[in-house]
Amino acid sequence: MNVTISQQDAVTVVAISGSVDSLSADKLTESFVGELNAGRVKLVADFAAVSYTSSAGLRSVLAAVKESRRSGGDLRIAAVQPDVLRVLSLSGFTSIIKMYDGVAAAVSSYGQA
Amino acid sequence: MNLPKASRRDSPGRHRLALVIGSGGLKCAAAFGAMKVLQREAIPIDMVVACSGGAFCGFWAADGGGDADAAASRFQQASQGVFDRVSYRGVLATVLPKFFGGRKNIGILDDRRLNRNLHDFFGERRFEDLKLPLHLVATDFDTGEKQVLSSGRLFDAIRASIAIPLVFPPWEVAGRRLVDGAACDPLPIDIAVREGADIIIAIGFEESLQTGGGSGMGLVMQLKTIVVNNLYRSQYAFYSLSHHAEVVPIIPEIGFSVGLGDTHRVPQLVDLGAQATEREVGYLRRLLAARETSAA
Repeated sequence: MNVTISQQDAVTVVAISGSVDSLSADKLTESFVGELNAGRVKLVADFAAVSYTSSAGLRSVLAAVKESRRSGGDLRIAAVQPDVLRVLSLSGFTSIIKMYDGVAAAVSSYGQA
Repeated sequence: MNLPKASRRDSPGRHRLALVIGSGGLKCAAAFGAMKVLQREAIPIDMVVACSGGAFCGFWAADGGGDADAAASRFQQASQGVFDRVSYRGVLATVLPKFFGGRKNIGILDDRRLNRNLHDFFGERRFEDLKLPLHLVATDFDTGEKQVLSSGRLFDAIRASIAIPLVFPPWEVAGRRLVDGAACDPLPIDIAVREGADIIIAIGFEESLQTGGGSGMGLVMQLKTIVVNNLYRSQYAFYSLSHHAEVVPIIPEIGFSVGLGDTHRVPQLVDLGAQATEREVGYLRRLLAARETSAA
């Protein structure tokens, strides 16, 4: 799994590629924690290149959602592929996390909320 | 964010892998296809947990597996004809329980063929005869509590676990009237967690919504399906996210409705189960290799 971080105005885009699972969860958590500790709490996770998710990977995302909201921000997810979306839906993520078709929509949503 | 080392169940010992097969009626035939792939890949299973229709494949997996197509064919044969015969006394008992045998025999289908087929399938075999620990989930019809059956006659446990409410009469085990495990725990990941599994392969199914169900019974079954499907999703979400265990979901994409009598669909369902498992194999291989390395 690889993580690339970029800034779009006040929003931090965390672009993830590969498999979000127990073997990559710590690395993903470190990426989120680094941004949150730096005060960048408005996050967008770009899932366009995420090919797989399992429970450990999703726990990492969920922890970042909780922490960002506790800090006054949010973590929103963009561009989820169909196979991954099925797992996110089954895990309840689509009910509790704001999801968008693309990164641009997810970033601009912060201007509306 | 890391857990303290002392609380990691997978360190320093070897991992414990559970196969969990949820409810889903005939759709559970897909689990035989999943097992075909898991056997080919020599994925080491330490325990099996199953519920309702998943109990058949769960039993077979805990018994050592083997020829998955042959086992699916036996499942198909055991399922044939069991939903065909209405119990008129059962219908009357369902509608007018005060006058026709009370609540004990509520169930609109005659279960004699089902019982005969199950007896042919399991005979007098017991949980204790199996190669792997097997835990089957049923629901106490009187209290609503979950009952986990892990010892005794397999016939009794499986008959109880598949007793779809209102369709088949409950089955008594140890003084309790038990019905379908789907009523309380349609994908029993929690039992695998409780038994110490840290890698859980969870094969789950949403039940097919009823079609053309204009009758009162059809509406009741539709409502039951909606409730069970939502329970399935809620429990999957809770147990997969609230615990340290790694849950690897295998969710076959079944793009058609599967009724209780659609036994001709079994070979197709086996193929779909195998396809869904192929998608998970790469990660399973990497995960097991990493756990073996860290345990060494």
